[in-house]
Amino acid sequence: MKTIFPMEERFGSFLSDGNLANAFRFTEVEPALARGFVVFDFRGVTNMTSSFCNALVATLAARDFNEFSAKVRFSNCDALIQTFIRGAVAIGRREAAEVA
Amino acid sequence: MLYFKLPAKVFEANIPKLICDLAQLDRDGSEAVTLDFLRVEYWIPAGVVLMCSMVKKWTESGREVSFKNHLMCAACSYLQRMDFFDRVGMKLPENFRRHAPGTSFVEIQQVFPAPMRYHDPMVRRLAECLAGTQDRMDDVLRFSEYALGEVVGNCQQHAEKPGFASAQYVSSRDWARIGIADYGIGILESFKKHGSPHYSDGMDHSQALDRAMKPWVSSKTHLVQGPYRSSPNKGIGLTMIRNMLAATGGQLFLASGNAWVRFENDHEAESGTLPGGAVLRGTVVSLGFARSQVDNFRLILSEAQQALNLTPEPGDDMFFV
Repeated sequence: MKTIFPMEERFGSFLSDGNLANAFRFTEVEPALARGFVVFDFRGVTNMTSSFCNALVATLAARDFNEFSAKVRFSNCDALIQTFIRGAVAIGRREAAEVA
Repeated sequence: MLYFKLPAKVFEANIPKLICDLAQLDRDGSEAVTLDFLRVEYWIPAGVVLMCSMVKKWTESGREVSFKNHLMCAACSYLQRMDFFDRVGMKLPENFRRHAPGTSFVEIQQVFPAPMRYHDPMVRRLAECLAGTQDRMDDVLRFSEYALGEVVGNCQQHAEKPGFASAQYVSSRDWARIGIADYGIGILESFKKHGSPHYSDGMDHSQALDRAMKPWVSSKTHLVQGPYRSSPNKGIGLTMIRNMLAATGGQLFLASGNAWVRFENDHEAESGTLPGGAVLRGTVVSLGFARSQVDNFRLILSEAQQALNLTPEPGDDMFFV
């Protein structure tokens, strides 16, 4: 099963609120990940903060990096959004390694 | 009755003096205070929102605050256009025509401390003023949104009291400024209150400010037992902003408690404490940068990440479809 989250539809074109990202990760993304694959669709998203990206992506990656690598993907990201996500993945990878 | 003559000009260089003077007035508790605007000519946004924050704090606690010469000072129209008087509960007649929103400055915006509140429209409005465009892909707009999103988020998450934000662009100097002030618990108390491992007995405001500027430090990073079993904070927001501003020749000023710190370009930080035992209840942040220096936000972001050793691995391309 694959769940697609349209990020602009959910949060607008600028993703900024880390608290909102944290709640979203816990209440919707983690249950979806337990059911199968997750795709975050960034079509229409033009910007974000590190707070939002880290609360969502880094925390998700740190929780179980292998599962994250196998089941999470990001679509329609421009170069800036990719840079944010790559940074958050690096944090998640580091935190996962510290726990291991 | 206390009486204070407000300074003519407030810039980044002398804002610690204004903080000190207002904190001294704050220390005098419930005694009525008169603020004299006679000489007031030009204040950067951080100075205006700081005064707004202080006056709001005083009036909310029932302290009597009166203004003198505010209608005849050189900055009266500017303060009115910024909604300063409205924000502190004083209605004045408007004998001027307001500019179209988002031109050279933005009216003072209120930042609410609610646990989850969407501030994006407000951040967008401030960012559009700083960038001078509504083009969502513009590098200055995205840089401004990022910086505002992080500092507004900090205020929202940590202050526990309302804050105020404003922005301004001075075209003759190509200089964009953001100011945010709150009358909340401040950085030291936030570390202490949340039982942060970064807090230690005897820690003072300067040490707390210094600690807050270090990467991977937040007063809430350790709170993994919250409702979502993870803190939303990684503690890199301020460090990223400082690195980005350093890379673009910008400035960052922070004050909390009796301590302040200023970063300019990539020079060594300058810091100090307020004299005379003055203590600011809350936090003030001022950011400044030149539009012309923000030529490629993605590159600036990438360099700031690299400074924190956040280096992607080649295989990370697989995440993007």
